[in-house]
Amino acid sequence: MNVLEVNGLCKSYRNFALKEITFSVPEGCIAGFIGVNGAGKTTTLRSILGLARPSAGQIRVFGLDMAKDAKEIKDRIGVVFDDGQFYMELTLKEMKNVLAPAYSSWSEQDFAGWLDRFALLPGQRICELSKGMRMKFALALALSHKAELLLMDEPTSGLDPLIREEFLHVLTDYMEQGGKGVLFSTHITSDLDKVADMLIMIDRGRIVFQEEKDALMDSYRIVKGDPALLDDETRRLFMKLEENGFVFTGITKEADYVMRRMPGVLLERAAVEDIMLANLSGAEAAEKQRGA
Amino acid sequence: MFAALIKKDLLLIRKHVALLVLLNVLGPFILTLSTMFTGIGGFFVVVSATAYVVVVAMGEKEAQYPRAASLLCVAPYSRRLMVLSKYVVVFMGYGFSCAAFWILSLIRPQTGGMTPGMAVMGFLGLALVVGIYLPLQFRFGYERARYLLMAVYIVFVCGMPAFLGMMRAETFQVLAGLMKAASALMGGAAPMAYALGLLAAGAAVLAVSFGASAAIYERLDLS
Repeated sequence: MNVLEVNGLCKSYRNFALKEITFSVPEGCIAGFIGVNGAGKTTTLRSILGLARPSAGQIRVFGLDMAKDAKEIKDRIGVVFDDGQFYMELTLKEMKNVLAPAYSSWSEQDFAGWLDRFALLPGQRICELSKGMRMKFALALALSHKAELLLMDEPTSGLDPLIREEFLHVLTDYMEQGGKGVLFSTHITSDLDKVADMLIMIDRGRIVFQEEKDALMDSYRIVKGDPALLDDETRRLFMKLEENGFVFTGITKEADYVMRRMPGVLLERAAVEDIMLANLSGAEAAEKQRGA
Repeated sequence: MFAALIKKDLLLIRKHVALLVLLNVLGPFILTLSTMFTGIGGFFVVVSATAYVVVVAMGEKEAQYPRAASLLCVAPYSRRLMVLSKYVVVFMGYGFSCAAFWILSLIRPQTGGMTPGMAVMGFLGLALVVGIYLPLQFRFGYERARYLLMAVYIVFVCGMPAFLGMMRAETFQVLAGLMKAASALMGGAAPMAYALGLLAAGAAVLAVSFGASAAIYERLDLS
């Protein structure tokens, strides 16, 4: 069962547009939503959440239509924005008191537990918290009403590695409860290497791919070898290719054929970032070709 | 649920509470120094100053944290409820002004006294001003709405003499009749139906204004 389904989502601004965004997040899955800055990650999330009005498309959460059942859906989702988005002069307790009455399943016990785990004090003013602490508070709010789906927009951006690590632990603990889903937008792809089950890539307002992370990472290989092996035909096997005098480095989806055609090259497993960058280069090349 | 939104708005303007108390307690005392601002005059000055502080302070705070409203919108709060809380807080301020002025008028008769008619007229006046201003603020944002209000005020002040000069004698008679009725109401001499009519008119203005504000806010793309 899909906890989130986005079909044909369109949203236009003067200088940017989301074009026919379609993807889904199955139950029990942490989906990484990747793309460079300005690719459309935040606009997509804002459209899903009803903060921006889509010009076309359908959004279904837990099988319910966001356009008709927004209140019920919002009661069952937790949201973490990149900077928390709080009234900074309120204390943690005051901010919680604003949000908690809106949720039918709010748990004071869970909230106190999260504050304790994150070493946050209810009487602290939000403006006195560091960015990392604010993100922990945002996570505490999002996790204290038995949310079944977490939507997070760049939650680890600007955080130090220790806090990011803790953040990812919380996510995996959350998923262990079962029946949950996470959509996690980020451009820090190393976080997704650790926790994501699925990757969805967006570029210039279009979905580039949606695939299971392991299958995706199995299908790409980084190839290093002697530039003398490169000719017109072998160059076409690479989505991204860099050369210096002694060695070339490329990324390919046709590892078996490369091995046969270019004996002696070195193959390495690609990271999420390599795959993202390769697809950006691929998209640029395709666009240039279309232009020509 | 709705109470939490009102509480949030009150928390955001809590730094202005001291100013509001000063305005409503010391204001009428100071105004009694001038005979022009006793009674209804003083009451209107205090009410309009209180409403101005409340509306501007709320707008200023929402403008200071423009993305915080998004967090409320992704919670199961409806945007209509968020809009309604602004109206309720302004009229809570009005209630406070009425109560403070009434108590003060008992303690210090020089303030000119307070009648139910004054409260009704104040409600209607406030409903008209707030009813126009809040939809503008939701549509254009706090800064631009404030400038717009200032522009309207300047045009009103500068244009009033010319407008009065263009009016015919019959129009003056109608206005004089209305003034007489208003003064009878404030003195407690007008029939109850007249007061109820004015209350209903104020409520109608607010209902239309709220509908407009809610429609504007529901269509707005939030950051």
